[in-house]
Amino acid sequence: MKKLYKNNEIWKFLMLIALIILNYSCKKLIEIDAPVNEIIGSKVFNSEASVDAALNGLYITFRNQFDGSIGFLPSFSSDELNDNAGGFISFNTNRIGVDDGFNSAIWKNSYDLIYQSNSIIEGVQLTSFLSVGKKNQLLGEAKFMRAFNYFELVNFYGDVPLITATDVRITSIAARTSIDLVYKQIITDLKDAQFLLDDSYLGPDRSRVNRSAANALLARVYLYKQEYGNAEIQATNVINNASVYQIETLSNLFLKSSKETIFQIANVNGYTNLAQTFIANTNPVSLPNCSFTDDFISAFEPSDQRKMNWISVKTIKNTPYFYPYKYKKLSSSVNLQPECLIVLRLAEQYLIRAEARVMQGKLTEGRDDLNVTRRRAGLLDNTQVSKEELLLAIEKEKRIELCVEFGHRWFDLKRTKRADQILSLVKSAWKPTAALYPIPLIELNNNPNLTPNPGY
Amino acid sequence: MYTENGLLNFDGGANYLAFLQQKSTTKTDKLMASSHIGYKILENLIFETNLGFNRISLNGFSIYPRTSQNPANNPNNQAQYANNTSTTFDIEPQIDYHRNIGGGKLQALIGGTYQSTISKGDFIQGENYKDENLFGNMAGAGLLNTYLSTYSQYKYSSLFGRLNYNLQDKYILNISYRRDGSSRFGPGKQFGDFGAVGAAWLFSKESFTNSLFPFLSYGKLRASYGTVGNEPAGNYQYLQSYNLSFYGTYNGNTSTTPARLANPDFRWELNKKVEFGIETGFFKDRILLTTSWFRNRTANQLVNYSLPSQTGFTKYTYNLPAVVQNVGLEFSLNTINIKSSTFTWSTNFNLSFIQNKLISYPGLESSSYKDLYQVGESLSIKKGALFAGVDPKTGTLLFYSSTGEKILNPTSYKDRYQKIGKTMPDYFGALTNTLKTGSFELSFLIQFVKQEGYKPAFAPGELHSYMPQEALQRWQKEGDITDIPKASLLAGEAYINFKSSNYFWGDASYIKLKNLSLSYSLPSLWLTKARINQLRIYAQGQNLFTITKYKGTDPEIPGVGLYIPTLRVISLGLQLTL
Repeated sequence: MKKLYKNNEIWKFLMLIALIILNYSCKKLIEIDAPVNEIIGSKVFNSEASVDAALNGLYITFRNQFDGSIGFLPSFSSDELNDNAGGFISFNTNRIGVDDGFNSAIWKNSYDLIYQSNSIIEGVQLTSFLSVGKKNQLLGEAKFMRAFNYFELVNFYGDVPLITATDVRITSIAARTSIDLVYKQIITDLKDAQFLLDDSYLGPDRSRVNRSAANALLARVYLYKQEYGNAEIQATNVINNASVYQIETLSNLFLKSSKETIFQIANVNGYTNLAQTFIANTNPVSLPNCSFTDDFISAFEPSDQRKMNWISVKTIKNTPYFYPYKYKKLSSSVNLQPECLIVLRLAEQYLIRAEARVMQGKLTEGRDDLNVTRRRAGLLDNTQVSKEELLLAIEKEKRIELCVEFGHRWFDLKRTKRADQILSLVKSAWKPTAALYPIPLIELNNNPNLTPNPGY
Repeated sequence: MYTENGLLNFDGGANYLAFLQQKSTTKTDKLMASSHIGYKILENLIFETNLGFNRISLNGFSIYPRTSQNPANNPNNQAQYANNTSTTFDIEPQIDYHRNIGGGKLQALIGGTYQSTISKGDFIQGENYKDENLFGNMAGAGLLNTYLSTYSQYKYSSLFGRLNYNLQDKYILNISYRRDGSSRFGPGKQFGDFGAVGAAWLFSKESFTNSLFPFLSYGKLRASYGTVGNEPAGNYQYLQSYNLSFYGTYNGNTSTTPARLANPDFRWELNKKVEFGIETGFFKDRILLTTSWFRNRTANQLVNYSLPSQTGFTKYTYNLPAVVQNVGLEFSLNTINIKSSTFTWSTNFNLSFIQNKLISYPGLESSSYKDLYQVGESLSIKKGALFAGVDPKTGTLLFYSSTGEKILNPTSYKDRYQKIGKTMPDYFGALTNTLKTGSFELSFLIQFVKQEGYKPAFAPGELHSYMPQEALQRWQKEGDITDIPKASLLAGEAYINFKSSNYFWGDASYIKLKNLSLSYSLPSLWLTKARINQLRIYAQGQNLFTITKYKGTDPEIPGVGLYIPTLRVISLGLQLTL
């Protein structure tokens, strides 16, 4: 080599220069601009508009999840609905396969929502571009969302991975965390949200969460944790805010303008997907997708107006099929007032407080709370006096008042450890292990630290 | 098809004539410019460069007149516009230097590559056009919906050098080095260094070879070792990002959802290749035989890795911590069997054995590939349940567990994911013959592959569009000893495992006449008079016949269900060169 260049010093020099320039400019050569059709990670939190958009995206994912199959699947698992079309038979017979698509979607969408919440929480805490007030609002909403979804996850699956960050190196191998620790995180998040959020609603129609939403969810969480004193306090916080939250008439209850709503999810066209799923079509021979079980229909007391208002019937070959009719607007062309999915409402708070009070021995006050929804339904007041009787009455009242809403019945049966006793009577193939849905196979495959639920 | 009013009839739900009214056009414009500039600085020093500019634009336009849609869905006039462009610019400068040294020829080269590509696209849908004649004008729409725009930018640059020394055309040595940079990697991971070294010995030029093996007309031994890199397929994979929500707005406000995960860690994939070859020619190159062996080992392979959805995503770009090996042995034999003034017959035969193997994968058991791959096996390993036949008593399906016991339905992963085969062929090759006499030329190509693949078979609970013959052998009564399950309307609980089992896996080897062509060139004497350079008439057939035991649609693409096989194409043609 030396010999080669010796005769030609100029050549050697030129080569050297060329090499240096090329090597130096290499880095410059492959520098590219950020994609102009997207917002790049750090920039999401550099402007109010971008963070707002990310938060709105969180609400949209929430809508896709809860105004979708998760809105009715647990009703098949419990004793509320029968599957007529065959698509949900595995939920109806409590034999969900590990590769069931609906079950996988519940898990995946929940963690999508949790990622979106975590991403906002991390980004908002790091940014210096937002005002403190704005930061608090965003953090409060994201923490509420994270708590809500972990609440759903533990009640569907038991122990679940507790993910509170976005670093894939950590999140991809996280194992299941005990229910107790997940609940601890849920309570921390909701307490933070109570502190961070305002009483007033941002945006129209109670479609963004406020402090009352955090109170309401915390009341439910304490009830599930059997911390009855705390549950009563939180429910009272909401109920006492009587200038905002009032018991609505049955016919206005599920409208977008309902005064009973604590948190609802906005939609574009003024109707819910749930209405489309539940309401029977006009074809005279086709069964509704799903119909209430006989057991549920017979639970109504005579003269309960909810039976008239919230249940519709389609009769095929002299057999009546009763289907959910809480949401009535089937499409934007139906001439009814706009509806949207109601996530939290006042009636539940009364029933939470009723149970919490009875559990604490405050039987008269508990019975008064129970009678709020009974009166609205046109029923006589409950006059029972024993704790056991009242608890059963509350269970039944909750079953009817909150039917096919957010899996209340399914979760309540499991929470009160009544599932085996009640469901084994109406379901031939009931097994105690069916109380938890299976961890989806694809998740077990992709994260070897996950363990399956017993029985699957 | 039509109603009394002359409109399309949708009583049956669909009307295929409607598609004729839903016209769609796609126009692609390509602009390509390239130039090559060379400058001789000195007698033995040459500067050259390639410059290229390439622009492709694609315009799509589709219309959906109201009358072509089912009136039950309350349709309106709709049109769609798509607009995509991709612009690429590249420069490849190089400096070439050569001189004689030590009795041999030395050649040195230094060069670079620079490439930049920008692609973007928009998609717009118009609704409620009052007038069907105004579909071409977006302003005619009552409502315009815009969809997510696409955009990406890509840059690539490299610097390379090569030294080549050739001594008397007998001994050749080659050394090269390159440094590649790509914008598809995150900061600090953009560059990779690669190199190669190779040597060749043309032993037929040695005088002792000529005296020892006089029939040998050509002989070359070669060996090489080199590394090459590989970049990921997509742009921006390292950047966390948010994109506009697919589901529109919330309360009328802009909404974004996470589009990608922050992933700054992945780096260049590295392929190390060792190759040995021997090329020989006999009897004045009437017989040419080339044999080569190679071993290719890939480390840090870039894959689209499956993530558990608890991460918020299901895939990301990832360097597999595995070493994957491909070992191959390839033969190519060219012979001129007959060569006379009126008739020539030549044959080309090639045969390849390629074996793929997962050499190591630290942490495979704790990765998302644990059910797909196995150390020591091919990456094309096919896993599934092991079918154990039919219970002679009941006719129900039986499977082998991983421990070899017969079970009704495998539920554990070990039982569900056992080795049932592999998709990579054991060997493959082709035989081409060309016969020429006068102005006629006949050639045919026979392809053969030894492989396994999906095997269609009789399955209970499935609606067969045709009933396989083996259904006659199905289990029908207690005591029947058969491997074909009983007929049933219901799929049964074991159905998913049954479908993934080796019952549906088998030999898919085949021999195919891929190509047969016959051509006739008009005598040049006539052509010169007509001032035509060449005039050729030909007939050609592709995929003319297949010899196989495979029962599915096409063993060349063994797949599930009914699909379009490789087509048999017969063409007649005329080739004219002025």
